[in-house]
Amino acid sequence: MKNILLLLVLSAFASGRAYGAIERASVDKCKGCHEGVVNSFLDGTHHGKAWSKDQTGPKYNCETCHGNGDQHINDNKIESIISFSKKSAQKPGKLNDVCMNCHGKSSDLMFWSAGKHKRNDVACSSCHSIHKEKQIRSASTCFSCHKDIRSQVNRFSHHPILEGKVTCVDCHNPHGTLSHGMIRAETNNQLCYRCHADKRGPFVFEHPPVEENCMSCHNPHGSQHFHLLTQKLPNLCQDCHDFSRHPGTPYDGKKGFRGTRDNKLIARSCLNCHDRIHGSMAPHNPAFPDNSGKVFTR
Amino acid sequence: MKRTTYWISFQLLMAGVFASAASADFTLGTWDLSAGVGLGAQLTNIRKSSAKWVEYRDFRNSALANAYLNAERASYRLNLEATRIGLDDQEYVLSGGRYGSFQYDIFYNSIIHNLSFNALTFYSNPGSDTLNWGAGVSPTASTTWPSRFDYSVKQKNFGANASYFSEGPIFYSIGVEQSKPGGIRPVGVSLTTPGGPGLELPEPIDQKNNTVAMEVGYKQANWTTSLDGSFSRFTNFVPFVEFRNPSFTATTPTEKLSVPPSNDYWKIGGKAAWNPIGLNSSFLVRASYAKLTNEQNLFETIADGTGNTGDPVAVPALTNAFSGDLQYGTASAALTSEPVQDLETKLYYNFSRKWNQNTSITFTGATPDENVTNELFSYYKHDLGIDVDYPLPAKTKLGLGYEYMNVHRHRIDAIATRDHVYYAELRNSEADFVAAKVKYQRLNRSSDAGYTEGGLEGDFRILYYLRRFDVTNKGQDKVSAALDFTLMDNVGLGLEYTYRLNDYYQTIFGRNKDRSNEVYADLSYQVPSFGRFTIFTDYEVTKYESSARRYNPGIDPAPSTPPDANNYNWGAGIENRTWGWGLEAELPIVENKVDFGAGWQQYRGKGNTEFGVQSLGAAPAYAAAPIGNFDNYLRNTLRARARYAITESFTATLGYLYELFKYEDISFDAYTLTPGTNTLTGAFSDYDYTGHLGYLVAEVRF
Repeated sequence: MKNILLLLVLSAFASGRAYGAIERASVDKCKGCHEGVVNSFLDGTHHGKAWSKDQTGPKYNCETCHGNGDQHINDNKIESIISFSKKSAQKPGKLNDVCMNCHGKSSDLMFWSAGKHKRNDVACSSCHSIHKEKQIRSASTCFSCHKDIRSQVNRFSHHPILEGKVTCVDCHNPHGTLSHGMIRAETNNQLCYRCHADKRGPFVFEHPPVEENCMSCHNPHGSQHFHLLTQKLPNLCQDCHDFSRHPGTPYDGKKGFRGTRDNKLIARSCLNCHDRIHGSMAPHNPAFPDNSGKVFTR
Repeated sequence: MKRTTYWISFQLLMAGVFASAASADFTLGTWDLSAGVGLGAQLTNIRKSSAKWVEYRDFRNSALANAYLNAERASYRLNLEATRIGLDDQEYVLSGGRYGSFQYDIFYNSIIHNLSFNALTFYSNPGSDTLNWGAGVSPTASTTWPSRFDYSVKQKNFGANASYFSEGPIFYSIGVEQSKPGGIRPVGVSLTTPGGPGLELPEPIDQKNNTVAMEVGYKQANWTTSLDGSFSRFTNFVPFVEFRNPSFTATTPTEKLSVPPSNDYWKIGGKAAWNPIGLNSSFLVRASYAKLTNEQNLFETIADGTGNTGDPVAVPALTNAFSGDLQYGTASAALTSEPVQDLETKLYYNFSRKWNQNTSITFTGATPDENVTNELFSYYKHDLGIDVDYPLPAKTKLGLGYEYMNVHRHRIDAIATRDHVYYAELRNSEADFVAAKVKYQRLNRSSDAGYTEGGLEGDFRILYYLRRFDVTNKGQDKVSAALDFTLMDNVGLGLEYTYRLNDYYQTIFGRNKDRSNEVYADLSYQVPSFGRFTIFTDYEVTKYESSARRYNPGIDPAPSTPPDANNYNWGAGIENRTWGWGLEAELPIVENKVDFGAGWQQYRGKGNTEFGVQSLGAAPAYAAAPIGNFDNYLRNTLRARARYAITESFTATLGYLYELFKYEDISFDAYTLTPGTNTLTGAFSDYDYTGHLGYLVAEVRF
């Protein structure tokens, strides 16, 4: 198995094909009016670097993406050329077709046509800068449209997105998936399990909502409550658990550290005892059921 | 579409000085090279030691070092980047490849998650998986507790990826990664009786997760397909935590706490896209199968609570050998097409299923009625829908959609649920200066419970009246509107509003309603040749209404049972508000020579709860007091950075960060370690801080 993997990797390194070259004469036609744009494209972008340094492959020029420029040179109108600027006369779908001609068959872009971004007329150039080297700071690019998420990641409890340790594209594929939320997995739990392998189980005692959907209790983008919880404890637990004695008792303003010090409210509330809420590997002792896996206290 | 950007990260703010040079600075053989080294220092000052200040960041007084190397030859490239070298949030990436052909990267980084500092426990050996205390230590007197420690988890990640994607038909990729979290986190356990005292103790974290993933694909003019597979092995080096229970008379650790189990997770999948297949259509499919397994023996003994001796006794189970076997299967398909000009449609279907073949273990009680068997949860889901978009006059687009989801699950309180979702959306861009969007969505959910009122006995009769919000009947209304103004070429204004109502209309006990109002706005102004200014604000208020029954064992929990001091219906109304605003400025004062950036942010959260209790005569059965401080917090952040390019190859950056954080919550207000009903260690009680950080970095480019 290891040898096969190694062979696959080595063969990839050994069999690279030429990417192409810039057709200089054609580019110079545009440079007369757009010198700054052309220079920054040639010197500072991946496309420009790749095409300008590999003279063995197919030839590319500005018209590869912008279409025939003869009429534009004559009338100097933006409508007579494929423009990716804000003032473009083309619909985003048409602009994206230009990019997809080359990039559409990559694994990441296979499901572009089913994604929300395509449907909402997001153009490739809305996020990607073609003429100027600009690293996509994933979160800030996304926040420009997803203002609700910008708010959530700034809250009390959040994944380290602002700190640069987790990025939006770690969990989402902005180029489209068949999953809800364009996540990089088939289900929410399968996505979370990639990093939170300790939550996978299998457990002897399972907590059904945990097994079905992490989002029942957590907001992955950020929350006002600790542990990314959607609601404050004990209320979140009590919205599902009512039984005799403590699960159904109101924990009110009389019961903090300053009051009767009820341990269902102070500190971490229900988790003061029921910490194995994601599942337990402990046995159940019918003779002493409170210290047991079945109620997630062990 | 207008775009504004925000400074989002202190890391990025500090890393900005190490931006790679755009062009080659020197050559080595046939390689064009550029390289840089940044050296400096960060100094911090903080009032109170708080883990929250450095929750995910290493802000110690320390030296700063960063480096990069970029190399290019023809269409080959090689990049090395090292940031915050030697710190707990350090990161190293070596990447390279050939444009249009292959790429690879090798990485190492560490993520620190500081939870709480300076905790205190009576156990003499926090960090160990066998917790005991020594002579002279009393668990009920914190003055005798010997051990200060930090709750903190540090995760080291390293791995490599390679992919091949030439213009030929074959593409493939492979990636390997190892993650190693280690540290201590707080955990809670019960000590004796139902709802009785609890104990907070330090749980050691020593884990490893190895993952390998591969994908092989084939592409042709109108179709692409690929197969993928991954294997992940999670290893927990802590088998379980043994601890001495202070409520028992046993003098050795006889109690055991389970930990997340080691497991193997493998997954295979495939996907394909045909594009186009007529009518400007695409047909997309994806299927996957995953299997999650483990083998673990349960504890052979547990502490005997009889008489609170804590002596180990045998686990009363028919077997203690557990074999975990969960399987997940999914299948998805989507057909996007344009059956008539400009009418865009998407038909989709998703299926997912979880099979549960875990070992079923029966734990035997004194009588057969007291036997307990673990329940094996499984489900399957069908989800299908259609989205339609059609252009109307005046650059307006109408979107309509319908989705149906049917879920069957092994869960008696909601054996099956059926969701119907309808929506209508209008988008308009007739005016050059504004794009508008408005959407309404309705969800109807019906749910089947597996029990009847007559089939439930004793205290369990509450289940007939209890409905759980994640699966029960509900109606949801959601309205959203957005305006995106381009007032001038250099001025943008964005406004958004969302209203959401969930009405759990058949719930007697449980969550009855929740609703939220959200408003977001931002304004950006680009001053030609001067800089960019951005201001933004967010506001969200969410309200929850819940009902419950307080009752003693043996009392009928029916809501109609006459109330008394211990048995009554009650309700809670919870309101959470969060709001934030910020200002940011980026000023290239002298182009390519001096630039300055600064930003201010304030985020606040405030929660409160009102209670309503069933009346007992003229007065409520229980006089509940409202809570006015439920996860209240305030965070003010000021940051500034000035960069001066002294020469083309020498740049100096000076930065400053100020942050104030205040937290107020009834659960932590007047916090004490040994309140009598719980023995605590101080976890999460040290949020407040006022922190200052300054840094100076000099970067030399070669």
